[in-house]
Amino acid sequence: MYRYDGFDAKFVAERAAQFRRQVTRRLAGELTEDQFRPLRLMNGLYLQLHAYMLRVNVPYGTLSSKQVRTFAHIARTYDKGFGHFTTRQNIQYNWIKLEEAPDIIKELANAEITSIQSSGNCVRNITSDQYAGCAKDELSDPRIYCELLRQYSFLHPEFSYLPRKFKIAVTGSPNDRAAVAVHDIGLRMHQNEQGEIGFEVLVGGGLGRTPYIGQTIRKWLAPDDLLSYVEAILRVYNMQGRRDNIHKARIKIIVNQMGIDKYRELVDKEWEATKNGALKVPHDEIERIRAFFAAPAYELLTDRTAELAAARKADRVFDRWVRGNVIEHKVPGYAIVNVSLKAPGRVPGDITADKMDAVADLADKYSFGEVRVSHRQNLVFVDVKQSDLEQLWRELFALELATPNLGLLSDIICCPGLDYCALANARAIPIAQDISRAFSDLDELQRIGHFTINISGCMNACGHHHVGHIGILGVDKRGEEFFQLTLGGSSDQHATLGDRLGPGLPQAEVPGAIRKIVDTFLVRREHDERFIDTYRRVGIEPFKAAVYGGESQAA
Amino acid sequence: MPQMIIANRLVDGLVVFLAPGGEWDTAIAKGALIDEDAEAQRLLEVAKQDVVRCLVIDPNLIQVRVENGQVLPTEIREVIRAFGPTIRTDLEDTGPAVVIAADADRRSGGAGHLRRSTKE
Repeated sequence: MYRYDGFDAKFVAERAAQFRRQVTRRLAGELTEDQFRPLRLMNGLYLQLHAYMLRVNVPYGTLSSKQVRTFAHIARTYDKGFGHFTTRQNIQYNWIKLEEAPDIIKELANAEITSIQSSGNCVRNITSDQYAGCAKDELSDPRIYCELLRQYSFLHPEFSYLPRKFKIAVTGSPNDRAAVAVHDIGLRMHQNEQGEIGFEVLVGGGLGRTPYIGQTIRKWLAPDDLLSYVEAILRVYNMQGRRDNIHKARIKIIVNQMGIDKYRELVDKEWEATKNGALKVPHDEIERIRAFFAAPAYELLTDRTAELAAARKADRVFDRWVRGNVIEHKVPGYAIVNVSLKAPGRVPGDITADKMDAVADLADKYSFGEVRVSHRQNLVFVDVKQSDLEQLWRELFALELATPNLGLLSDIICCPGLDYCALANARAIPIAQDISRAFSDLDELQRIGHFTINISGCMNACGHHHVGHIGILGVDKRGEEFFQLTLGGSSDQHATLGDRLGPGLPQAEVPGAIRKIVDTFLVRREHDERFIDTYRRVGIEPFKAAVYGGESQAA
Repeated sequence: MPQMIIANRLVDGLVVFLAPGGEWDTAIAKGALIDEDAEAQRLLEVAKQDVVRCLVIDPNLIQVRVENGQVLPTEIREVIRAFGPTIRTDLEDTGPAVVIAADADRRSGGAGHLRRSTKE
């Protein structure tokens, strides 16, 4: 993984010291809150309902075990013993004291982690496929380009005050696990007819108040043109984006108002002047960064198909976990292991300090000391020997981290909602807890098959509700929490926005409504169809009738 | 309906309430109940001086009611600010101070949906 060089280390250390001085001045009254707010936000420090919240970047979701232990230490020392992994592959701490924030930022810097640009109208953490470098379907490791973009956009003076925040996601696989179509820029790696690897560039995707699926602005972009082309997109946005209305300030609004063809024309004009200039990425630089992501020292193994089959046959619980949470690896004899943070009744994405330490130990023992964070708020060991799977599972099981529900209905994305967030209109986490308790039967979950439920506590959509097979949006109606359901959303390579099912439901009716939707699906399903395929085939009406069929107490 | 002044404490962000003596307290039960609008506005101006003195951020008036001796904000958001998240019952020191019960209770009885817990 990427390691800081001398410049990086010096810079983040200086920045930590600078933030300490800013906090000291604030506490001494030399800075007003209005003066201080942008300074703390530039370091990822928000004020939420109960305390300060610190959002810490996990670039493209990749962490060393040392960094995971740092997260655990911060949770234990400065917070209430837990952290929350988010849909942007970051971690958030909910109970931070302003007076201790400089110490935290210094400790993060020592572990080569920053919270810089985790807030503000700048290029945010660049996200990617959690299986990057290991997935069997991958064309090339997307993290090299994520890191290139991270270095380019980090404190870029021209793009530190964009009209609004800017999110970039990169996938190196045709099967999109990074939701690139709902980002300001989405990069999809693919091969051209000459067998060269490049990017399809999507622009103007996003969720929030006005959701859009990104549109293709360029079908093919050579990797050495990546920075100049992204810069052209950013520059046009910086000039054309609206600064008079925060709700219309994202690039998706300007792209959709002027149309993709016009936006492309402006970008191409800008790019024409810069494409052969200083931002042409030298091959050596790409290779220099690639070296940071070199494959670990894999042993020369063969797949242990027969042994694994025997072990699975001998233990049904192990078998269920392998079937649910273990993914094929590109290297023979290895496997990718997903660690679900979605046990029934638990808070999606939350993990305690003790469990973070345990995960770090397991990463050292079984996966070359590396941990990944997925945008679906789970963790991953990407390089596990198949011969270690059973022992790893036993250790995860003892930690209550072996819930075999990856990609199943209870693997719910959920934002912090009104339990923590100053923007939220309704609580999201209790809804996730209710649903995961109502659907805790693993046999039933496997019968239902692949199913995504995404929950947001307000229209800002941190819980990606628009692209859940079932999306749940919390709203405030006359001081009470209600929940609007959408159906048919998807964030993969066939991304779609969900359709609104009907009027909002009170919290108590949501699990029952999910049950009715599932029952309707199971009746309408053909063969082993996924819910999303059945929905696309039969449409919304059967589900609407099931949920609202004459007995609704909906408001 | 009585009002109360709520803010976040600057040093740690914790939710605090303006008490009758002019000090800030993390317990809503210690907050000053204000019955008159004019008095509420006067105390809000006093509270804003504590912004200048770097004690609190963003003081605001909230509506509260008193039921069975307990002071309860009328808005869910402020109930959660006053008593803490309704989740994370697995962690001793972040357990909910109140439980916001099922919707049926809430719709029928306003603050009747709040139950006291062991934490104050």
